[in-house]
Amino acid sequence: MKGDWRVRLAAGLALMLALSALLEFRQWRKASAANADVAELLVGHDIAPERLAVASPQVLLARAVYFVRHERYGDALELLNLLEAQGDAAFCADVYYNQGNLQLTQALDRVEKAEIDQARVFAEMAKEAYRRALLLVPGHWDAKYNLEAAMRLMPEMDRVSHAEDEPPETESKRLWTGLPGFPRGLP
Amino acid sequence: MLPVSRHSIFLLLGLWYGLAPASELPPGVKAFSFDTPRNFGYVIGDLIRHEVRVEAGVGQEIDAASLPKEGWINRWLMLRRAEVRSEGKRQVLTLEYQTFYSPLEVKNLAIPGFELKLAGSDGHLAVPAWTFTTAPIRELSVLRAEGQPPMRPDAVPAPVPAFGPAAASAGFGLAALGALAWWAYLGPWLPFGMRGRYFAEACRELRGLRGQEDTQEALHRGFACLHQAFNRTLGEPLFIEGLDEFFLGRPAYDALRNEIQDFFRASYEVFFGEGAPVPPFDLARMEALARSCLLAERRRP
Repeated sequence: MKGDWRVRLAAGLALMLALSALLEFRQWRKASAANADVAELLVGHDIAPERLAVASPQVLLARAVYFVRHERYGDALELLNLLEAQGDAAFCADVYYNQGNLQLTQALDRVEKAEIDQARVFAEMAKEAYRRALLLVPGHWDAKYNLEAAMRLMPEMDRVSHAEDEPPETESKRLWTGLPGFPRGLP
Repeated sequence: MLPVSRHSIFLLLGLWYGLAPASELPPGVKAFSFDTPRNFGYVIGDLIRHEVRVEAGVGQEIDAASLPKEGWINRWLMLRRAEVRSEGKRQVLTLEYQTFYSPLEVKNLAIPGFELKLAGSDGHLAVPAWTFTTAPIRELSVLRAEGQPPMRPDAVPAPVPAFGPAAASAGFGLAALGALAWWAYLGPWLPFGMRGRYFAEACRELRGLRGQEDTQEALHRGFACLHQAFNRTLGEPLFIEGLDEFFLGRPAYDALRNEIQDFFRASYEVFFGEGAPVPPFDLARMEALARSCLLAERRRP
């Protein structure tokens, strides 16, 4: 019958468009729910377990921030390790950056308690995490700032001096034969 | 600091290094240049991009084995990318470094030079070491006790874009409504649609007459309402003489030509002749014609 193809076209179009509208609507609902969850976590309330089951990486990152703020460092680290290599480069860089912050915070704690060896371990891990963030996003200013802080905390052993990039030679370490000012014995 | 764009390399701060006189170049090499960005103002994590341009003879390509290896060059310098591409007659080697040095004060650093080999030639092209200055971005003290917070706070996730899906959903929804309306208008299953309304009215009126006998009065009313529909479709009164022109302008009704002609002939007999329709045209036939006209009107191209 004449005009039949137009009826089919109209029907197909109506169905397809309605389906697209529905999908976009779901997407929107999910995005708003995720944003609400993130806001909830950032003001300091944990979210309900059933929301956690469907949480997006963004929500989980916010939850890691929430853990850190409540000094649940173990939970935070576990979550951040889980989030590695998810999402785009910017998101990954943020995950690495937060890992670095977690380690640096603990390094600072240790330094204040004068536990230098442990502080050194945490600072090394923090530096590694910040470097990974900066390799992904070279313009990550917070990572630059905190990497510098981590490096100040535990000065790099090999200071670049006079364009010498090779590891320092062993002879130079023997410059001091003993600790200066150390009593050498009784007269 | 963000990577320095090529624009600034070439136009604003470009420094052309190593423009060796032709006499010092290995045989076959016509031109060689080492193109570098500004050599000051770098901070930890910055990108530095160097370009080496070589114009050499046919077959003298840059030997990939002589390129510096991608990865950590020393403890603070990373070579992210070393790529050769062709640009007309020239070969362009792009080197993208990233510095991770954390200076206590403004400090000179150097990216080491290297020697570039060309395939099928013994000569070397020396890419010189490049010195730049780097500066700290924060005060020296790190500990909390000394005032400033020691570190930048955690990164919080960027909000998930919600406006896009909302707008798209509304747009698709409206478009779907439009398509639905079109569908309803094309299909004969809904009583609306601008083009169907004249015969739809006639249909309704004839349906109202359905229960009655084919009396003179009922026939008169039936013929009158169908005539009315034809007149309104044409926009002026339609008589039997005007039918050919009517069909010419409205090919959708062409399939109903015989039936419509019969209707007009019968109508003439009823109103101006003996009073009985010839050829016989009762109310049921009239209703069938009205329905066919209704469909023709809706599907008219």
